[in-house]
Order: sequence, then structure tokens, then C-alpha cells
Amino acid sequence: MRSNVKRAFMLIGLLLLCTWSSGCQLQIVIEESVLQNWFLSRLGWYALVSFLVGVVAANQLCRLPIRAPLLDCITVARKRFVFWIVPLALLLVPFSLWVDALITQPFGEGNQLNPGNVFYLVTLDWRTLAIMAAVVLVFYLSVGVFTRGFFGRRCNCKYAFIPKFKS
Amino acid sequence: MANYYIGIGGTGARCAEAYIYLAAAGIIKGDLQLLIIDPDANNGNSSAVENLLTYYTTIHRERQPRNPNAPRALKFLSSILPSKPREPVLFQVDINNDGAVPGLWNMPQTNERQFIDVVEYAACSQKLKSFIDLFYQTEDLDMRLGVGYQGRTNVGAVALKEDLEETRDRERGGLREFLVALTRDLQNGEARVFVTGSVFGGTGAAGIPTLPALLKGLGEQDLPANQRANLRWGCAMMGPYFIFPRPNSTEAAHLGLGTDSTLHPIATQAALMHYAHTPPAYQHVYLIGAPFRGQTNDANHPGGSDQRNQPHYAELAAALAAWDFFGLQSTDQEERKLHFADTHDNGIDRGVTWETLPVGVVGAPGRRGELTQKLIAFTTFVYVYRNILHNEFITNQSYRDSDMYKDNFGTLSLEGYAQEQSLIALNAFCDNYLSWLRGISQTGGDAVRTLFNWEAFEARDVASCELLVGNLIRLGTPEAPRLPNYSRSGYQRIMEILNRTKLDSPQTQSPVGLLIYLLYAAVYEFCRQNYGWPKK
Repeated sequence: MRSNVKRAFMLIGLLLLCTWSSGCQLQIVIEESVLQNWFLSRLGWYALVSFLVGVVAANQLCRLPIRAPLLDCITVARKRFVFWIVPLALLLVPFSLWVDALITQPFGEGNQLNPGNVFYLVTLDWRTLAIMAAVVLVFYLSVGVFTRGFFGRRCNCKYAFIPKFKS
Repeated sequence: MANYYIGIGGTGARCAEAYIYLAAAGIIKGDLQLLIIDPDANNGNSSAVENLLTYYTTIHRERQPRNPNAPRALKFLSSILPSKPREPVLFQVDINNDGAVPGLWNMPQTNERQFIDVVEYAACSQKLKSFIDLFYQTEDLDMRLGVGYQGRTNVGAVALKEDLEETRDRERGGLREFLVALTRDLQNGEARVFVTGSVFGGTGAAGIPTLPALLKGLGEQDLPANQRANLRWGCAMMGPYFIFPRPNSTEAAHLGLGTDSTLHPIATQAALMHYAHTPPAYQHVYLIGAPFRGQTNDANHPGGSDQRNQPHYAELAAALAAWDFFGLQSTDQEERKLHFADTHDNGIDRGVTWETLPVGVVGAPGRRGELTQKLIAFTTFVYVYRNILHNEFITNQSYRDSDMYKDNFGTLSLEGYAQEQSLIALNAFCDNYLSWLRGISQTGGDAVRTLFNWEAFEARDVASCELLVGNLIRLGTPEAPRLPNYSRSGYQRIMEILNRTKLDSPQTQSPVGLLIYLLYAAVYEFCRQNYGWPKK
């Protein structure tokens, strides 16, 4: 196994160990309804932001040049879409939720959690995964609809994300 | 009603090649009956035209959409304001009834056949033999006709007339079918025949006066006098415009004047003096030559398959002469006009440019503009298909994901043996055209320097062609006074336009025809935007 991959696994392991140990020591009472509301509000905001980012991304993808000898740039557009969605959904969303939770501390009246606990309670929560999935879905739909529809007339890859099948 | 075009000899065939390119580019309109008359059946120039005709016919059979409509953004507007359909332009001329009629005169000529057999010398009386001996040397009489008349006009004039008359009724001989179509058209009104050939060589010089005489010789039952009056003749007499190496001394003894290009001016003078005294029955004669004669062959080939000369801009001028003749409003049977053009303006030779190309005396405004735009658009189309697209089409089918294909082809598919063969024919035609252009740049020298950006035609790799496709016209000329709008992104722009072109329905059953239509529409629109042509 290559050393950098080994290092990445070790880092994730350490992180999990750290959050597990901090979670064990968690003695304070979390107000679940407050956290639930916080996640719901973030779901809305993240969907809105990913929609707007999707529009910008669609605009960028529509400007992709068609290079000879091809007649389209669909493959390039799809590669770029994947290249964007990985950092956006898998890294930026959990990281920003963690930072957000650290600042806003949505754990109930008087509860102040350290970064490790916040990571355990928010970032590793299933609702973060749901927000990530929602971001991916909204981003995909936004890019797909805008490349196909709104920017379609001047788009070089309008069938890249919502394909048209030849009859 | 069709137009009738006859190319005589190697030079006539070369002019016919130029005419086929004009027809492919959409400059020529109407149906065409084309016949190459060359007793040298394996002549390289004639064979090249025969191959070209095969490619052309294959492509022409791929029907392009008729009156296609582009859908409007708002559907309900389509019923109120129907969009203006763009008629197909390329490969629309029906040549020789879709290839059903042979384009090459088929005169079975064995290498053993001698001129002495043609005049039946052995059967002549002694008195007649003595008379014939006055006009012909022993070399003339013993000359083998397998590779044409080898520059001997005195031999060709007799042999060609004999051969033409002999093949007049021969099925699939080319001439019979040509005459049948002509006499049928003459019943309905005026029909025009345009003949091209050299006046300095063997076959052309012999054939130019012979052809009108051949039709004159048709009996009243074949061509009644009232129909004969509907016949109009035009001719491009090709004067000296090229050179080739001299034959070596042993060969030269057996060859006529036409096989020594240094003697072409003298041979031309002699022929023209003869025509001045006994004018052939042409209403319109276009006299064409070139002040600078470029070398069109590396060796001296008096005939045969090796006689494949490089093209020359004079042949393009001959094709334009035919375009002018067929476009004349009316011609009187008694009319006699001599046309010529030069490239001089106030004593300065401007060379062969888009402004000096002879577009004739028809005087229709916009004729030069039409020629320029259609030829540039056709050249761009050919350049894109041949140099960039074809290999991808055949090997990777990379068109399958393109918007153009998904939006317009419906149930039609470019996959399949027949489609592949048509695409190969299109590629071969494009390849011939680009070679023809390169040949013109080589033989024309400085005279044609500003016609195109010739460096672009030397590029072979896809990346270079992608960069150069928007720069096919030389910068600083009236056609490209400043840097074109898409000088760096020409290919990308063409593909953008192509992918946004959408028809209501394919309106054809031919996928290759549809592809040609869509690609040309995109290329023409690209040229308009790139070179700043006004919107029609």
C-alpha cells in the first residue's frame, strides 16, 4: 500500500478514536429537538446554496469548449462534474457543518461542546449524511436542469446530465 | 432541362474536374450531362474525373432534407411565422442521371490500332494514297492510337471524327446516351452545350471543331432542323497555361507538337489562325490561358495513366466560363462572341484573387459574392470533414453523443455498411478537392497567392487543422481584411452551431444526406460570422 494512503487511513482511525473517547466522556444533556431543528434549517440552507452553486456550475459547464476531433464535450463535462461534487459534498459539507455547529452550539441552553464532541455529535450523525445526499441531489438536478433547459440553447453539453436517448 | 458539358482530351478532363467541384459547392445549378471524350481510355486525367464522378454520384444519392424547418422557441409561433427554410446546397446537381449514363466516352481502342487503319489506307486507290501522303508522314500513318493522338492534331482531327461517328449508336458508349438526352431536350426548347479542350494539343484541338460538325452531320430524322435551331454552343479554348519536361530526343521523333510544351504557343497560334478562317460553330468562345505557365507534371507523358497533370487556376477559369455560358439569359443562334478576362487593373497585375476571378458578363449583381461565399464555405466544409471529422466518424462513432445527432437523427443511424461507404466516398471527394486546391497553389505560384491561406492546406494533424479552420482566407485581403472573429476557435464555433441546429424532422431517409446538410448549414453560418458576411 502506498504510504500516503496508509497515512490517510491512520488519520481517519485517529480521528474516530479521538471522537469516540471524547463521546465517552460526554456527560452533558443534549436537547435533541434543538439539534433536530438545527439540522432541518441546515438542510434548507444547504439545498439552496447547492442549487445556486449548481447554476454557476451549469453556466461554467455550458462554456466548455468542443475540442477536435470530437463533436461534443459531454465526457469532459461529466468528469468535471464528478471532480466538483466530491470536494463539495464529501468534504465541504461535513466540514462546514462542523464549523457551523462549533460556532452556533445547537445543543441546548448553556451547552458548550469542544471540537471533538461537536465532530462526534454533528459530523458523524446520520443527518449529516442526509444533508450530503441532499446537496448531491440538488446540485445534480440544478446542473442537469440548467444545462438542459435554461442554458440549453447556448450549452455545449446539454444532454450530459439528463441524457436524451435517441429513438 | 439539363446543361451539357463536354471535356475533350486531358485538358478538357481537367476543366471538367473543376466544373464538378463548382457543382458540388452549389455554385452550378440544374441538371448536367457530362461527357469526357478522350481516345486515350486510360489517361490519368480522364480516369481521375471518372473516379470523382463516382464519388460525387454516391454522395448525390444521399438525399438531403428539402424545405426543412427549424422549430421556433415558442411552438405556437411556428404556425404564425414559419421559419425560412434553407435549401440544401452541396452536391445538388444531378450529373448524368445520377450516374446512370457513363461520363467517359467508351471507345474500345487497342494499342495495336494505327492511324493507317482508321483511314483504311491499304484499301485506298493509289491516287488517294498519294493524296493522303501529301498530308501525313509515315510516322503519322504508323502512329498507334492506344494513348491518344500524342499532340498530332492532323491525326486527331480525322481519327476522332471517325471514332465519334462509329460510337454514335453504341450502347453504353457515352456518346449515344449524351445525344439521346440532348435531342430529347431540344424538343422542348433551347439546350446548351459547352465544350472545353486545349487548342495546342492533339485531342482537344482536334475535337473542338469536330463536335459541332458531328451534330451538324446528324440526319433530319435524328435531329430535325427546327430542333437544331434550339442548340447553342459555348466553348472554352484553352491556350497555353502549363509546361512539362521536354521528351528525350528518341521519343520526340515520334511525337507531335503538343507533347513539347515549349511549342504550345506556336501550336495555339496556328490553331487560332485556322479557327479565324473557318470558325467552329460556337456562339460563345472563352479564350483562356495563363501568362505564367507552371509545371504540371514532373515527366513527359504523351498519354496513358501517368498523364495525370497537376491542376491549374486556368481550369477553374474554364469552369467559371461554363457557369457563365449556362447562366446567360438568352443567346441567338447567329450570335458570335469572344470572351476573355485578365487580372490587370490600371496596368498592375493583381493576380488571381476573389476580385479578379472571371465571373462572366451575365452582370447579375452579387454573382461574385455568391461565388466567393459558396466556394469559401464549401472549402471550409471539406476541410473540417476531411481533416478533422472523418476518422472519428468511421473509427469511434464519436457523433453518437452529440446534440446534433440526438436532436435531428431520430430513427436514422450513421452506423451500417451503406452509410460507411457513403462517408468514405465523401472523404475521398474531399481529399480530391483539397489536393486540387494544393495543386493550384503549387502551379499558380505567386499569381494565386492571395486566393487562400495556402499554409492552412499543408496542415495534416488534427490540432493544427482545429486552429487553422477559421483562417482559410489570407489575412489582409478584402475577404479577410482583419483577423477573423473565430481565428483561434473556429472548430469549436462550428461545432457549437452544429449542435444547436435542430430541424422539426429529418425530412430525408438518408442519414449521410442529413449529416451533409447539417454540417454545411453550420459551416456556412460559421463563415458568415467569422468573415463578417451580411445576413441574408
